[in-house]
Amino acid sequence: MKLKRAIGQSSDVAPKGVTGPTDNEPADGSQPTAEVLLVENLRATYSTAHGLIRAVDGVSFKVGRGDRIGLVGESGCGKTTMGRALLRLLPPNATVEADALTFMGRDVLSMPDSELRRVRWGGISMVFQNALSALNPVKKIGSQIAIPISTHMSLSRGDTRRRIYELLEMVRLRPNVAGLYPHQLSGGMRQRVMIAMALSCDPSLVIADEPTTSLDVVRQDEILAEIEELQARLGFALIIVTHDTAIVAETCDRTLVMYAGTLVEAGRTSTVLGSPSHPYTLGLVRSAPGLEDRTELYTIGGRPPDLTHPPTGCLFHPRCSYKAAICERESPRPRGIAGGTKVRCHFAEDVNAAASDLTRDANA
Amino acid sequence: MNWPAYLTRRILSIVPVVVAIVVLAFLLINLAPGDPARVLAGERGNPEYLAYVRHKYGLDHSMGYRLWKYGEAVAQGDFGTSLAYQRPVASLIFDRLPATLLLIGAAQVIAIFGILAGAIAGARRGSLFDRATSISTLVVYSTPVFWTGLMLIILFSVELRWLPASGMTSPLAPTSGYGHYVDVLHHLILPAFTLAIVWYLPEYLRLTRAGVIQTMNEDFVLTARATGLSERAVLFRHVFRNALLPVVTLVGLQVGLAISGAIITESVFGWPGLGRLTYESIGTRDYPVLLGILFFTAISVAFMSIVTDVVYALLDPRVKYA
Amino acid sequence: MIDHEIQAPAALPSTRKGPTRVGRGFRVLLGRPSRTIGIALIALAAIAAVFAPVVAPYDPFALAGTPFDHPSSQFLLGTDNLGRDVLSRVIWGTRTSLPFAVGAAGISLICGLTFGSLAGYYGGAIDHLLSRIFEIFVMIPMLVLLIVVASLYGRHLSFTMIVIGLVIWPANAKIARAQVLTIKTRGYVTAARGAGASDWWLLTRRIIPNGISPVIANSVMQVAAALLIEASLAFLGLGDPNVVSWGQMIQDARPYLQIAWWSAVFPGMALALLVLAFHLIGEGFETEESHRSVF
Repeated sequence: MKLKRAIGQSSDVAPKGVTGPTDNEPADGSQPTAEVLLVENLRATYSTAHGLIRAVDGVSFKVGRGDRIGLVGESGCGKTTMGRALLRLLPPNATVEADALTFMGRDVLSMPDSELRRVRWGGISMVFQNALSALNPVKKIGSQIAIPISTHMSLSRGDTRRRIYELLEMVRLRPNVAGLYPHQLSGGMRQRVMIAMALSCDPSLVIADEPTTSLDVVRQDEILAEIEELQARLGFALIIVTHDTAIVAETCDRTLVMYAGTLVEAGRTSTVLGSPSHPYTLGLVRSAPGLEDRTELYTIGGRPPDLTHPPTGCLFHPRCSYKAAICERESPRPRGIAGGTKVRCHFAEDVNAAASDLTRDANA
Repeated sequence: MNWPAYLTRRILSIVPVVVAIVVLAFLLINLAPGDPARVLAGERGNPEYLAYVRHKYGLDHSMGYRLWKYGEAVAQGDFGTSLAYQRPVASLIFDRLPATLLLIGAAQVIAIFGILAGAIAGARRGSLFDRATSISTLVVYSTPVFWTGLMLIILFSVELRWLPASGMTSPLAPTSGYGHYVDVLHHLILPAFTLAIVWYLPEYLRLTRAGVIQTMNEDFVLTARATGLSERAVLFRHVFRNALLPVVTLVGLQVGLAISGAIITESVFGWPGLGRLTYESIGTRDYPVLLGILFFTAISVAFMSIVTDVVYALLDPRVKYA
Repeated sequence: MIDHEIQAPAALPSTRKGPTRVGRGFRVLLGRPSRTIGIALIALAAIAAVFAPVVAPYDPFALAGTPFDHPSSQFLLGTDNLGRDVLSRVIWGTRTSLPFAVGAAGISLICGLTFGSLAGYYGGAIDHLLSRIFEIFVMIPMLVLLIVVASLYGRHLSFTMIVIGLVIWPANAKIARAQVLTIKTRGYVTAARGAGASDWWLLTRRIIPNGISPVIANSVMQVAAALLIEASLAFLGLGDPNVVSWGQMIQDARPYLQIAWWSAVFPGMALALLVLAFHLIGEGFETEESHRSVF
């Protein structure tokens, strides 16, 4: 069975995912095939013993066919919750709401279970962070990959087996891996298995949640390269969820920066990471150490907010060096600025200017 | 998995236990008030028998020598002679063993329902079924097994007259063939049921339920859901198989420790097994039999622990292919 | 769980104004209805035990009425085979069962905590030796052993209590050991040791208080088990003949089930309720411990 070869987009085409004055697409979605995922004002709330926690608050973005998007944020910012919310995979104490959450034009939130189960893996698949715990320890690799295949595609047993070998080969694993158990493989091999599994049903969108965090640096590079290569070859859209800006800088065309459940900046990677417009993004970029750096390591002071008692106004203001009185009163709304980026900051232009100074000084 | 090495190691680990039991039994006899010879030979033993016992167990000599003689006897399979029955204890135990095994086996079969119920309760945590089964089994588990047995006798034998109150067979029933089996089964129901619901079923239910709940929180269950499996498929293809592994261990150990429950149940229902033998021997002060039963149960527990470990190693690929 | 653990050394100001340990203890105990019921039942039994001579209408050994009297206004739970008042005997039974079970579990708790903590903390040869001992004890079937002991050595209640305590402590020791192994690597322990704390101080002020919860939960369950064992021994004829025991009452009533069911039913109910009470509390501890965080 031939794998789908979609027409991938090269990385210097202008991003379609940012809504705003620069976007030309009709609002009624008359180009449904170009848009894989549409997320508008997504909110996810956990109801816990300590109160209600808004883990995701008003996130909006679009994913087009073949897009490569990076979702960046520190631990606890809600990025994992967001990834899982897209497939309604959150625990029972979580509520997901959105103005719109559609996959290929179909509303995910109101979908009946049978349809949702088809979308899961058949339309959108996931690569999980810790392959050892994400895989069933008492089942062989082959039978674990076979399960989604038999759920979504009706193949004969021989065809299924061929498909499994095909997938393993795609991620550069030997066919005998199918007969092994997860604990018998190395970390890198397990992660490749996860990737193979994610691709098994020809998804249109793959969400990779910290795909390389549990690996050492060398493996990280290998796995990332593989993901990139597979994406170019097969043409699926990719969302990489990570805390590592370096990964995003290398692999993704567009970057979404998340903080305390909200998107604080979104746009082309080169712009967002090259000349950030939000103090948090600026902080993230500055705290990534370079090889040449001999100065003291920069960190963003303070800690992420306690979401049961969030700060008033802008959620970032307690840690922000650009803070003014308005920041405590009013939560900034997302607005587009020059360069096509959308940002949530009252002083985005100032931040951007400061960032450009930095780059200019660094290059001087 | 290196089976010969593993098995050797496990069997060797039993040795200290066996030695400890021998020493324990020895100490119990020799430190008891009164003459150890009388313990082993009986209050009314004739003088020749007393002398024989003194000689055999070296009771006129030092403790060390006595221990040696005692161990020697045990190693040869000689567990003493029953005072009441005037037979070797070992053969007496083996005579009564089948009845007890039948009782325990039947109780285990009934208790399997506890595993089923536990799996459902865990999968439907917080539901009416879950709460109802958890509470009811906890209440029954808290009752003394002999009391519950008596209550059931009052209900089913005295009031309703559906089931016999004691014994394994009725005097007027056929002693062989189909009729015999039916008769035994008829007598088996009440004691096996009592033993199961008070002793085994609640534990199995609780453990399975906890295992299912814990497994459902594991990451691979999330993966399974993410791949589009229905809840049912997730449960049957992933959760249950993983959750039941530790239950296997428990079942194995329970069979080993089952004697305690059997003792009381057999006493209540007059079931002619090891338990009833214990009860009788208490009354007749038949110490050699009691000690023999202590040995036997301890060793069967040790043995069952090996069997359980091996079965678990076979079932869990993380151990099998370490 | 770090926030709730006892860790703040005197030098650092405590930033959490959470509930005190005692306060949290009460919340754990009374938090759920099942546990409240358990506490209430035990309190009832304790009161009955302490005030038995006052509360019981008759002397438990007195032949106050005719044998096999139905429950009536004179004898609320009827009389037994010798004409003794069942209610009074049930009440006096708490005096036997409750101290016995709590005593046995107490011995088990102390021994188990001590040896388990030492094994976990010092490791090495001590740990190895103690672990062997734990394994051996676990395999000895308790009832059979007690039968042998009671037959050979006499049936005094306190003696049996001590024997039980000395046989069941390995279960607690295993738990304590596992707890100590985990806790001794925690940050606040290393920090305190770096500040010069002695082993003794570390164990008694930091490690054990933080790890004791499952050991206590297990000990509570052991109280329940001890209650049942005492009754079982009495039922088999190995109980202390000088005290009132529910198991003995049931054994006495056995031949007369058809004509005087009350003399068997009520003692059993009392025992079941008391055992249930301890089970409810023990279970409550467990669910509190395994509370899973959302994230």
